[in-house]
Amino acid sequence: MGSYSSTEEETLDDFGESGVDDLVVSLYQMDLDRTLFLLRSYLRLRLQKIEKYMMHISKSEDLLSRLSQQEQRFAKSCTEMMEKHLEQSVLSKLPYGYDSVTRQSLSSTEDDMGIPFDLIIIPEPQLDTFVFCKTKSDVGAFQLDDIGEEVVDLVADDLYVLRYKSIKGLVESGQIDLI
Amino acid sequence: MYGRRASQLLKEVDSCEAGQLVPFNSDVFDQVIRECNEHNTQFQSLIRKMVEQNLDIETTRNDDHYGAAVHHLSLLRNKRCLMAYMYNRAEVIQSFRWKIGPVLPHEIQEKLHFSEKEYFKNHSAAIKSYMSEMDIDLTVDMVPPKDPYIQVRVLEDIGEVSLGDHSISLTKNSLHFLRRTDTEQFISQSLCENQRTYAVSAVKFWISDMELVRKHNQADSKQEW
Repeated sequence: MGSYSSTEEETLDDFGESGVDDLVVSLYQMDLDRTLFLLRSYLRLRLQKIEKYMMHISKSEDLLSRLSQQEQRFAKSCTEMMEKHLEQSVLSKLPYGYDSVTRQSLSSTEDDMGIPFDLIIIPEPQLDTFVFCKTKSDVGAFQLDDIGEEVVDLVADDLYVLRYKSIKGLVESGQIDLI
Repeated sequence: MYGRRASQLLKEVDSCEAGQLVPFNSDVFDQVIRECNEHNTQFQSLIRKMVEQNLDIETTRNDDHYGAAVHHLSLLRNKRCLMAYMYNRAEVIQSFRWKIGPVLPHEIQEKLHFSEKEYFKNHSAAIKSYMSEMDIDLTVDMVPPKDPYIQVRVLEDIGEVSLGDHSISLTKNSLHFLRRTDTEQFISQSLCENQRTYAVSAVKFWISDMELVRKHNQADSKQEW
């Protein structure tokens, strides 16, 4: 897409020099503007997602590998900055043992005085929400939960509202489209 | 009641409209921090008492044990609340970078904790370095473009601005018909106002205006509409 927009920019420059009809130039300009808008929105949305789940993303190698080099750097510096911010505003003022970003307290991984503490502070994407999706091909009987109580027959080109978590695998393998 | 003050902070964040920010409540914030330290002192002294009585801290279940547990849990709850308070504010603050720009107006600056100001600056810098690596400005073009040209009214004196091949003086309250991409940076800083947003009923005016500009352009470029 980046290369498409730069080719178009060149075309536009050529037009400007060779005196092509104004209408054609402005049509090209509009197309270029729209392409650039799409490109920017795409990159912007990705950055905003990284901002939202920075700690969750930087924890997982799998998620990190989906980012571009520049995005990885962005995610890394974002996480560092957020940690630094939380560190200097809250954690540095708390007593020793309670001043970790990711752990509730020093003892929180152990069974702490009979009370288990493994509450997670890191915000994670909500995978249980329902999404609209459209099947590309016949999937057949598909199990929606772990125990096999909910089974749905996915027919090609049909619309469904399902929990994202259960169809995650199908989305990744390209058998189903999100709408 | 333990933990009430901390939850007050969160209620403040929650009752605020999405994307808006209330002033940083340093009074309650400091009180909660003090409460945390108080809990810790109590917790430590209860543990010490149990040690002095030669009891095994791991297995004993007496009054002191549950007392300590209450202090410990209250501290954790306070910590969660404080972290959530800061984190949710930080999320709003970083959204300002997209909505307002790299420089925050004075009204917003006043509402921030010093660490939050720093965070905003660092975060802007991270976005900036990403944009320079990718060689694309992501802070313009926030709405889908409809026309390559738009009419704008200047809200504040901007002065002489060079736009591609010519320069133009943007004085307060003047109307201009410009390439959208050229004006975008001023619109996001709210120095210009996009006239089209409220000029729906004035389409005719809009078209005649466009012709006027075209005629004006014809003089030097000999191009016809």
